Amino acid sequence: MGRLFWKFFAFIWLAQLVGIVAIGSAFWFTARRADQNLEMAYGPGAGTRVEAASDILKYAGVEGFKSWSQHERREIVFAVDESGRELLERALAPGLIQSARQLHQEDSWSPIVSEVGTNGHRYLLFAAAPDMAAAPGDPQGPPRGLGPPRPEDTRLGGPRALPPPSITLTTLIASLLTAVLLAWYVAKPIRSLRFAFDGVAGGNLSLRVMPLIGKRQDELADLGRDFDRMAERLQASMEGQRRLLHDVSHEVRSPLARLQAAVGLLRRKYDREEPTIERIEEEIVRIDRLVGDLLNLSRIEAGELAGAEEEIQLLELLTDVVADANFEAASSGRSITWNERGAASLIGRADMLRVAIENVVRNALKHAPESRDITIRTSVDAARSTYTIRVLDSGPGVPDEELAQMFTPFFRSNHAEGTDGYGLGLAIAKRSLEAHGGRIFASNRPEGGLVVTIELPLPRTPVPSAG
Amino acid sequence: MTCVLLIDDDAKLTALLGDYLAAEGFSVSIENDGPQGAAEALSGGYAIAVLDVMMPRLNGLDVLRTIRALSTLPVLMLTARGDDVDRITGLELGADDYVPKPCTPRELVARIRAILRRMQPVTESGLESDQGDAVLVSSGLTMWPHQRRAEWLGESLRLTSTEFSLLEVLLRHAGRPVSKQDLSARALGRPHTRHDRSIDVHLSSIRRKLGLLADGRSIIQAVHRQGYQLLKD
Repeated sequence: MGRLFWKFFAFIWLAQLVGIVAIGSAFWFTARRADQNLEMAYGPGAGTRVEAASDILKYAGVEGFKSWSQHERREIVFAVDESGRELLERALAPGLIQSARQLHQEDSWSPIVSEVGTNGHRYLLFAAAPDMAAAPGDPQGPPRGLGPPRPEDTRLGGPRALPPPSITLTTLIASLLTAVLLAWYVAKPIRSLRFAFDGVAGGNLSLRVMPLIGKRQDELADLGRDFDRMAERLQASMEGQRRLLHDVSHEVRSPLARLQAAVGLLRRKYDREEPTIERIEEEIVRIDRLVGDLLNLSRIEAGELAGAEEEIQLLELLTDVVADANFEAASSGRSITWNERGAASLIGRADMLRVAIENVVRNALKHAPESRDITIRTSVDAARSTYTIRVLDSGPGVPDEELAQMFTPFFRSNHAEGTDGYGLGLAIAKRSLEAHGGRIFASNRPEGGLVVTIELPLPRTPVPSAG
Repeated sequence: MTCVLLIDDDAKLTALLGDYLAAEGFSVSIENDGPQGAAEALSGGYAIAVLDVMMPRLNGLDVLRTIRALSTLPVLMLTARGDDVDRITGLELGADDYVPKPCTPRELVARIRAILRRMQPVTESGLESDQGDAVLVSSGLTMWPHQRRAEWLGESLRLTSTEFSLLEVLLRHAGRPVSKQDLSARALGRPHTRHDRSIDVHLSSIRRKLGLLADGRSIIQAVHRQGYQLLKD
């Protein structure tokens, strides 16, 4: 469950809780008011009880009346002072007090209303009974008038009890469930979308989100459909590009093969040592290599990685690369020195890694012709589980602002003169290393020259190499 | 005169290569269509076929499969440079060797000659030369280099020329490991290059044809860092 889900869940649940509390209290207040829906009791018993209450108030005082009222809970006799305050602070509808006053004014001898002066106040006493219309259907209940009030009414005016725990629990669970459902309903398609975006960003353009979202018909589903349309167009365009590159490379190679055959014939017919013909052959080889590199790069970028994953002993791999590079360097009277340190192994694609390292060493040979020596230093950083290969030359180096650009395809320096540019070698190296979770970067040495650093992640528990 | 069959859909290229091969002293036939090429290869009368595996109609690998089903005619594949899949599949299907395309015609001729030379028995510094009935025997394997015939546990083995040459070199050195460099130089007639899995692929198909020994091992063993070795009884 994502963060969005929890946020939605929290908001929805909170809203529901607020709603429940609001509606609950509204009902509670209404119910309370209904309880207060009393009316004057006119029955024969009312007079007796009002008279008794008057006597108690008169002779036992306010405290006596209070304790009688609380004790005789079945009797409902109210005592209201001049300002309309009830002696026991019981809530009363103003209309009721009004009608009691009116009755007393009209007929001061009426037995059901009496006035008692005590304690400096004048209290109007009267009996009241619940309005039977508000609480119908109680067969045991007294008829209209002053019967003994039903037990529920005994705590009239006092704080009303909360609903029983089972109802509270059910309400809570129901609100929780609906909140989960609602949050899930909103968060799920967004999660699907995120999953699809991740997939597409990772190069899987064939991913579609609508099968995950299903048959929804709303803005989120529209978003999903738009996403799918975008992914489809992207996929078509990428595939077109890849096919184009592939076709072009293939189409270039056919005439190249013919050209090579023709030059071969030419060579047979004329002087075999003709330098022009040799030049043509060299250039054909160069174009061919370039086409091969382009295909290679486009494959790596498309995520089609060459070769199978296997355990690679890095010392062995480097021994190979250094031997080869030394052979190449010897032709220009140079050499490569390597500290032969750092035995480690990792799981990867040997050919891709070899080509990557080879390209870096070749680049050093090519771009630092003054450098008599190319140095390779390898080391294992156990703490970071990283294998580091540093290729150092003592050539002219590279302007600082161009250090990062060296790894882009066909990058050509503005400063270096007469060089071929970096072609695709370093770009292929970068992509290949990144496919192995590694990285490559260049920096200038303080003492002059360039150092290209390759870092490869090692497995957590490095297997020591046999070599 | 040695007859070479060129199977490639690029008519202009085959014309040029045909001219070149003719100038090098080969007699050349050209087929620009896969099915016809396969039929022609099976008609007999050719010393070697040069096959482009990248043909659009009836894929070159299918042509190779068709040829191998019925014949051990040496086949040299033309593959796209850098396309390992085609190359390895081709070698597994029984191609004798490959040349990445585009290649110089010189390279092509050199490979053709290497394969054809292999059809002659391997001679170890001329020791066993001229003895038409020389027989090599070891561990249930019998080979008659001059007749290009081999038997395994009394049953006739059907090997391509490259497989035969490799097995012959191993048999001559039975009990000792032979490096890939030596195997490449003696059996393929060319120096071993890095990335080149040809030897491994050829040897794995020989192993497949030989099956396993009673103890579950293969008679051909890879020796770490040293190459391959034929077990001696």
